Amino acid sequence: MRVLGIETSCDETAAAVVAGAGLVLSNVIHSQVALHAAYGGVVPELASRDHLRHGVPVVREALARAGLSFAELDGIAVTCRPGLAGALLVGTQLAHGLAWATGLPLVGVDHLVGHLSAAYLDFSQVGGRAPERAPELPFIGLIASGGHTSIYRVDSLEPEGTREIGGTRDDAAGEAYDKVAKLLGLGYPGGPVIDRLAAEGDARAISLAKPMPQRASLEFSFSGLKTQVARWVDEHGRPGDDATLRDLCAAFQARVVDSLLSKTFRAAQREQVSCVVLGGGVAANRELRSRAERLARERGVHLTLPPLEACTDNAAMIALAGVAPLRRGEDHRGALQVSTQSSLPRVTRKGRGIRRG
Amino acid sequence: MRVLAIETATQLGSVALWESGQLVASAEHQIPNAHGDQLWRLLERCLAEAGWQRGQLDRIGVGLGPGSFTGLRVGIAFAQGIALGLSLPLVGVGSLQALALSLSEHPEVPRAALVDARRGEVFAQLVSAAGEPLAAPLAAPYEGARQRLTELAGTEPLWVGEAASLIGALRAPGRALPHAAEVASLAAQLPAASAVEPQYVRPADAVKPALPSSPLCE
Repeated sequence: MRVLGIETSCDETAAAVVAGAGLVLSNVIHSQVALHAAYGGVVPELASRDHLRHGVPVVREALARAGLSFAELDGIAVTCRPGLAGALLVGTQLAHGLAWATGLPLVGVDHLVGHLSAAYLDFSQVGGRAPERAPELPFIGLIASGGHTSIYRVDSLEPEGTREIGGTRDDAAGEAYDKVAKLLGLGYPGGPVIDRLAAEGDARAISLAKPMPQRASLEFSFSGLKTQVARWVDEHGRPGDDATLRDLCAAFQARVVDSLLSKTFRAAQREQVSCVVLGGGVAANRELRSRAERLARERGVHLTLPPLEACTDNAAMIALAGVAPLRRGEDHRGALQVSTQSSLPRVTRKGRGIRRG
Repeated sequence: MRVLAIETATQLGSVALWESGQLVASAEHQIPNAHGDQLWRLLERCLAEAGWQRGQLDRIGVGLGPGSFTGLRVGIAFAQGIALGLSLPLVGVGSLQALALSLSEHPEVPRAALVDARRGEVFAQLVSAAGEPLAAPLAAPYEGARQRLTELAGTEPLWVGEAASLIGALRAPGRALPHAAEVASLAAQLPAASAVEPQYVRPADAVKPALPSSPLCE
């Protein structure tokens, strides 16, 4: 089965063709990062305008690189939630028009299910690599990105088989990176630059308190950590020398990475699951990756770290997440709804405590 | 030539089929914020009514606005998908030019086509009696819009569209809002472009913050 995936939920216009179990035949991404950088974050109206401009060329390119025509495809999968409503609409409408024109079945995919599927993608035909060891179900999946930060127990790669067991109460991890980068004058997006500076800093030189330190909790909170950095800057001023800036980045990153990993591995222990998968843009963070590998070795956990192109937003993961519903014969043509919310049930509510009962 | 046209610049969403200078079928809805849900149904209904197959189409026309940003993108992205899927040319048509064409009288007077732009403004465009745009579409506050457009036209134009009442002008007989029927008839005549871009008229609401940068930044 060959599926065309389309992704426009945030600031990446992407299209990809994926065969059956996850072999990526093409993977095209038009990033809007430069467009939004001057604004210090994603501007929804600008994102929607850019998606409309690039949707058609990106889809065309994905088919050309795969060397396929529409007649050789078996279906179309498009991100329909969660994301920016206006941005999602551009992708779903484009996909809808394509489905009407070609007669191909169309399924709407939850972006987060896409991220959890990404570990199965095999990029060996498009200049990347195949997964060294594909995850085994059930697994514990951590999605950490600019818009989401949650831990899931995944029994099957579908919304019904995926359960959130802890999420962030406030900012997503990537959001915290962006806000701290803004505070420190490092521009947008914050993740890569802080990661780079942190690698040369000493995390112990500046003391920041652990966010959500309760051992039992699988919930995250990053807004307090960001406030601590803001307070540090209020007290000491913007770091005046490179070394201090690097130390501050290192201290911040160490806390984020520690929080993400300790809770993820604790979740695996609690759920008695031996496989852990990381996903989302923050999973491209080098310190997160190396510390995850070390922890997995120490604890005998089977860890899958998808390649960087599978972590950040892409359409290959959307195509793959569409395979199962398409195989079942699902078809959302004429009835595809977009939503800003994920279809995955949540246990953590933003701005609140644990939902009980 | 068989044309399929889509128009979603305002709350009126419509689909029309056009062949050899004639409207063959059309369908519309006015459910708020529902173009995305309704277009498919309207399209299927039109094709069934005309007895056409999708493979018999020759080109796709779409209204480019100005109008609701999201509404426009819903219609344009859908039209882009159809054109790409069927390898057909996509022709973008100004929605106000289409609206002006709906005038049922034809005196030798310029027309001013109007839609509500919200926030106390109208989107307006002057179109010649022959149907040619005289200027690019603009956004003008209700107050003073009538005088400004009259001065631009050099004479009192015929006011087309229900938004005429918002600027205190007398509406000439024609459509209340842009419709795919006129979009189709224009799309049949206009040249196809390699890409279509909505007529937003207004920039996106986005303010660039003063972001101090660190010298360590690349």
